[in-house]
Amino acid sequence: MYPGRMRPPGPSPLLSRGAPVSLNARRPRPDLFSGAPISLLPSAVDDVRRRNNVTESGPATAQPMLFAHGFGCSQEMWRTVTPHFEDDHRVILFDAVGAGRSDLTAYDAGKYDSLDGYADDVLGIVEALDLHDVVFVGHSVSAMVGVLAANRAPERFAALILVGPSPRYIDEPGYTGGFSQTDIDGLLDALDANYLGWSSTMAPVIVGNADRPELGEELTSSFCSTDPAIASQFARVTFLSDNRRDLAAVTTPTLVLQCSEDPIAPLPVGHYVHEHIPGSLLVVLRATGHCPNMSDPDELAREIRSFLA
Amino acid sequence: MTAPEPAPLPSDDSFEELYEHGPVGQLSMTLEGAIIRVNATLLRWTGYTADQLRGARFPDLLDAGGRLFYETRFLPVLRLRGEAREVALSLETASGVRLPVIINSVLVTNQDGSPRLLRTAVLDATERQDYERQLVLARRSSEGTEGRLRVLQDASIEFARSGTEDSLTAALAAKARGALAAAGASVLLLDESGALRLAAGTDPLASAGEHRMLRPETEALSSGSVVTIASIADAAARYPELVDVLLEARVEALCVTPMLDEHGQPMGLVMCRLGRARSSTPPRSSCRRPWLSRGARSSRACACSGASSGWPCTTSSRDSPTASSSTSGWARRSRPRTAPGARLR
Repeated sequence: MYPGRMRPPGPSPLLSRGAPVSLNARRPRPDLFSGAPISLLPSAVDDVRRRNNVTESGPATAQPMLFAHGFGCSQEMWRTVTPHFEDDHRVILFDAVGAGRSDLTAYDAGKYDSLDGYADDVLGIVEALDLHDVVFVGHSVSAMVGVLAANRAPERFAALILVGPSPRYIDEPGYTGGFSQTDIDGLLDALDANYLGWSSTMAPVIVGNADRPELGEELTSSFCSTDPAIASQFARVTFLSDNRRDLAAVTTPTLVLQCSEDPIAPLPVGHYVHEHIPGSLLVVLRATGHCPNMSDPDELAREIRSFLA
Repeated sequence: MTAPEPAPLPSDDSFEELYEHGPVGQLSMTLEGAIIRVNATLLRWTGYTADQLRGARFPDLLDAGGRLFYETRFLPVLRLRGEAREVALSLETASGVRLPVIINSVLVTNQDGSPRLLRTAVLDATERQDYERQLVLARRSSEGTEGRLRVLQDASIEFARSGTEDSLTAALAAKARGALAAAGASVLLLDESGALRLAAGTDPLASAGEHRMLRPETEALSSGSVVTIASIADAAARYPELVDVLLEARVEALCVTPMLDEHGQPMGLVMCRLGRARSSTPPRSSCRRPWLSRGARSSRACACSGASSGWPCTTSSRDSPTASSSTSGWARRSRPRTAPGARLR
């Protein structure tokens, strides 16, 4: 797999499994950049919603909270966190293009070859839903996506909550990211090795009809599935990008939430992020691992609330 | 006629025996990965004692790549779905040799549904892994080849379809961008005055259609060879004056491919701007055939997709002039009257 890979012509490989096809993937998409103002075109708004599988809960007039999932999964990772905010926030979830139930036909290897492409989409959602005063909660790689988005449109963001952020995973002289290039190659190998044998757990499944309960299990299994070529490129973009120089430009009030034993973004990285984002607050969570949104959603929600208070 | 009395079946009723010595490794751990219990089979396979493993963290037995995979994909699936099957990893054994395994895991919950612990069955996959590794390598290689062919094929189709210079340059820019997974690409043509004008694509360095020519462009035109910048660090070493320009444009790597006419004279450039650094310098030229199609006959800019490095393979400059003596192609029309290659040198 290599970044230049393009989908072969013809139906997506995901569609060849005989499963019902999501309507999302089939509708022709109008060109967002054809010149007309985006916010005035209802179809363009629908388009963004569909592209990123945007879902919403909570009062529509309350302060928006935009949750962005990290590498390896989908918006489903926030399942136990968002109920803590739905009473008094407009909670908005989305899948990064290529993940979860996003529109895979919108995947463009050139656009998504750096985190800027993902930041474009975040700003697209902010624009399409006409969000202001946004609390952006980004996990893992999406924490840096939030930094890039907020740096480009600081007037739209009220707060950045960075959960397990890392601006650079690879060690360099004078910088501890926690990994070497060889380690990342090992991850790419692991991804490859596991797509050979993934029949049930993580194989992509597209299900169109959520009304059929017998498809429930397949639906669940699709949450963390990704097209192998996309997963491979996303892994490269996630783990090989270097966004350290973007930290200093942050002007949005920022909370850095660092797990106490995070094997992906270790403590020194959390300190680095905190020290390089002016005025940021660092909180080291009791939760261990890389996914406090799953291992201790209550503690995570508590810290976010106390920062926003 | 009476049926012979069946021989009594031997008994296998010791659950302890089944658990400890069954043909599968068994492992229980906390959600944080601390090992609670291991069976004798897994101890035998890995060479550890029960005391060595009890309390140790399971992810610490994985290599770094496996650990990344475990944390970012395996655990989330396990938590959301309650189980994960047939995941290929490798464990470090007491002797330091790695044991390739396939694991199945289930999440065991308390009565109230809260997660309690993880149970994992481990299968030795040594034999299987060699075979799968070969499959992976074969697949990567064939995808690389297939990708290159597809780019060439798509490009020929597009070029054949392009009736005008505009549509041809637009197709060239689009194909080059796709082949390199570039954030942006532009086709720049030399005009009579030796200036580069934007013919297709996007160009952050253009104002009023004229491209501000920097050193990589000059070098590509004068040498007739592809000029690449692999990263900001590479730029800092070779083109320090460009670092700020690249950072401003959020470009981390650059590939400038000259287009030469049938006399080997430069007529323009294909410029690809990449949003992410590439790991190394590109492989040199394995693609010597120019695109042969109507209208593009004279152009020997060849951007086909590189295998793992993400770079194009490139024609080096002046080999094998194409057989075409067409005068109708866009190349002829856009070729400057003077020879800028000579001037630039």
